[in-house]
Amino acid sequence: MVAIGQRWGTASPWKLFFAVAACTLGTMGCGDDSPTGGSGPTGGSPGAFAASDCGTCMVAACQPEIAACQNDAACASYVNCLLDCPLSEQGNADPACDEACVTSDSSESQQARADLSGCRLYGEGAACEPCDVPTTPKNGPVNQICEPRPPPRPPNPCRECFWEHCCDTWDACFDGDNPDCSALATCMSVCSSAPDEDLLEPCVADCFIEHPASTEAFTAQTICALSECTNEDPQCDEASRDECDTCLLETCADSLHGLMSTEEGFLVWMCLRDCGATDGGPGCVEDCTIAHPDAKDDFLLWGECIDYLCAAKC
Amino acid sequence: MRREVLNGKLHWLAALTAIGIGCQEAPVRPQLVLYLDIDLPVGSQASEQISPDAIVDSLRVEIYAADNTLINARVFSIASEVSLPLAFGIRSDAVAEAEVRVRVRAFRAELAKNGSLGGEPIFDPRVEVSIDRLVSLSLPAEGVAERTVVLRGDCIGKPIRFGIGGQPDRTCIDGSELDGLAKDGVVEGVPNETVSGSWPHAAVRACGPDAPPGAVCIPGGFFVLGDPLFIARHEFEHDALPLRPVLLSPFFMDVHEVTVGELRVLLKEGYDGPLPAPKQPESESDRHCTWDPESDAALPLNCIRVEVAEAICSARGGSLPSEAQWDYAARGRGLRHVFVWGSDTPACCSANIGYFPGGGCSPEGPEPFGSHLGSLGCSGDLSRDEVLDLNGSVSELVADAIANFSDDCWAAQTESAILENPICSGATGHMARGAAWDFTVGDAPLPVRRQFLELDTSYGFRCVYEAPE
Repeated sequence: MVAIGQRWGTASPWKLFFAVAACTLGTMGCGDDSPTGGSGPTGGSPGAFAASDCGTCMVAACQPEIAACQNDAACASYVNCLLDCPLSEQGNADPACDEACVTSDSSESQQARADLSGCRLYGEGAACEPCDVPTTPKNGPVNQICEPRPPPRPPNPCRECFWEHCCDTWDACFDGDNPDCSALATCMSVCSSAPDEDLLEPCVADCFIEHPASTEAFTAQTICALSECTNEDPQCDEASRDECDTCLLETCADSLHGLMSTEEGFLVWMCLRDCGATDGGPGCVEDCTIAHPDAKDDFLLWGECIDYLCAAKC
Repeated sequence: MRREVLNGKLHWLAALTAIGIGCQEAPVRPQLVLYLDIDLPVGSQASEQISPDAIVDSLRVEIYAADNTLINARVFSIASEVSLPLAFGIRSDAVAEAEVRVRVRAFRAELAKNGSLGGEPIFDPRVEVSIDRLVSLSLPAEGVAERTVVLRGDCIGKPIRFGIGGQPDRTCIDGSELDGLAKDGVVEGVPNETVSGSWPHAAVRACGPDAPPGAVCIPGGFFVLGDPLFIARHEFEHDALPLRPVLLSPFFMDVHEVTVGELRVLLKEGYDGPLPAPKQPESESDRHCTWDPESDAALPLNCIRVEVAEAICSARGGSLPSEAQWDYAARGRGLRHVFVWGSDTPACCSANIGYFPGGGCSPEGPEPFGSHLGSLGCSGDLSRDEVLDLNGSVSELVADAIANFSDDCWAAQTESAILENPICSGATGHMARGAAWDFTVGDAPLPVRRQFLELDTSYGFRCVYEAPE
């Protein structure tokens, strides 16, 4: 049996055009024809974000990015608009309002806004407690606490890593008490040996249909294996992963987990992999999300993380 | 004079029809004619007495409404002072409001980023090495109002700030008002003539007499440290970004790296400080160390620790060069050379550098100084100021700590953004600049910033000395 996730984890082929693809799909910082300075704050309490604990903390934490934003007229308008936004349930600026605060289409405006958003959502500003931004990574199936186990016989570097970092998810699927999950993994393995790449995705979809009760356990182990064990390499060798891979699969692990933890998201992941393998370009990526619309939001969240944190490394 | 100025600017006026034309022959419409001047030199003023990095060649002009909406934007090329002051009209009836803000950025296109605006390509000036000025202007209800704004070199690197949360717009006016208001610094009327080239720091500053033996003068001046094209390739290198505007006093620099022979002389004169690691003929790693009784006196010292280099330079009456001094001297004092001879890819005859694609030069260790003076058809390792072996031989230790140009130690220590004789002090190792005898051709570009490795055969040093002006 191939290592779980091994066939699904070849990130490298498609990573280079990912940022472009994400832009095509409309993630932040990718252009907007709307006029400068939109009327983002509608409803709620105008100015709530500026006066909130989160807003105050963010302004202090992201001072360099705000100063850089003030060097651009449209971005300065964006900051004014953002500060006027009402609060979300989590205490941060309402995302819909943030989205409605448009900037101009100049490269300088886009960069300045993206840098500020990066600080707010993934940088110093994300550490502001009142903003309740999920810390990344180390959520979901990652960060398992595993007791030491004897090394596998025969030696198997991937298995060893799973037992060291993915023990709970491994046990949930493969400890013998869940034959359905093992059967799903076997089904996946059979798919992975399909001679035609076009058959892979429908084959995997059929596996999920045949084993609906094990989708969660299987994807959890796959996610952990991919993030923690460099599972895209047959030997789980960390050296096989460059800094772009590391960023996509570890730094942005939370949003990747969000994507892969559902059947639809898993299929989008596989579809993206095929886009890379066939050099399908942004159009191919867009087709993936069209084919699996329920996973589009999760994909965009991952794309946003990549835009902000991985662009320089990829 | 006023008529002459206007006549000279008609081509600019014609170019700005979208924001209203202020043309003599046209019926007079209510408008404001803005004259833009700059005290930095432009290309036609280039000379040996002007620091090349002080020269600007582009002005990006943007006009904004009160709500920050962009009304118009253009980039103008200014190759000659004849183009200055640049004048254009803003027609009152073409703008919905009584006030506009004009943002003007002066920069050199070579240092700008490629950007876009409205889907069209445009140069995005780098804030850190541009003059950025915001001007708040009232448009006349009738007649023609004339205003003059001068961009000042002292404002290089000072970004404007559009106000948020009800704060006013801020902008650098000049050296005495580095954080002024956008409405300030606007002069009524028409300038008599351009002030282009009058920025005092654009002028090269010569050394006084009495250069130490074996050293040459590196005249002082303004330059831009760093290079947009060189990004760290691994953990032992550091980006040559962000760019840093720097003002250096003149100094003397050793013509060549400190040699075995010079240390022998120092020892005879009583030097009792630390010494380089000796050559170990049997050791694979240390057989190319040069400190050995049998070594050629002209070989550069290598296999050193920082304290060895500091002690030897001190004993010679000097110090290690700062990274800024080294960069400035090696790259032609603002000429932005990628190699000391310019931009041609190095050949084996160019410098004492190691391995090249398709066949190495395979030097057997460091060579005596001046071994690569060039020949017919081959540029040598000889700088603009005739300093030897800055490009090859041994990579040279500098006084600065390991840091990125974005780190605090590279931040301006005063309100001005221009760094004066900067040295990045810190406890974490030292930087080195220049390539070495066993480096590849990819390591040879001068802007590459690498970490110094102690006791390594690839690393040596030279000294600099204060120069009176």
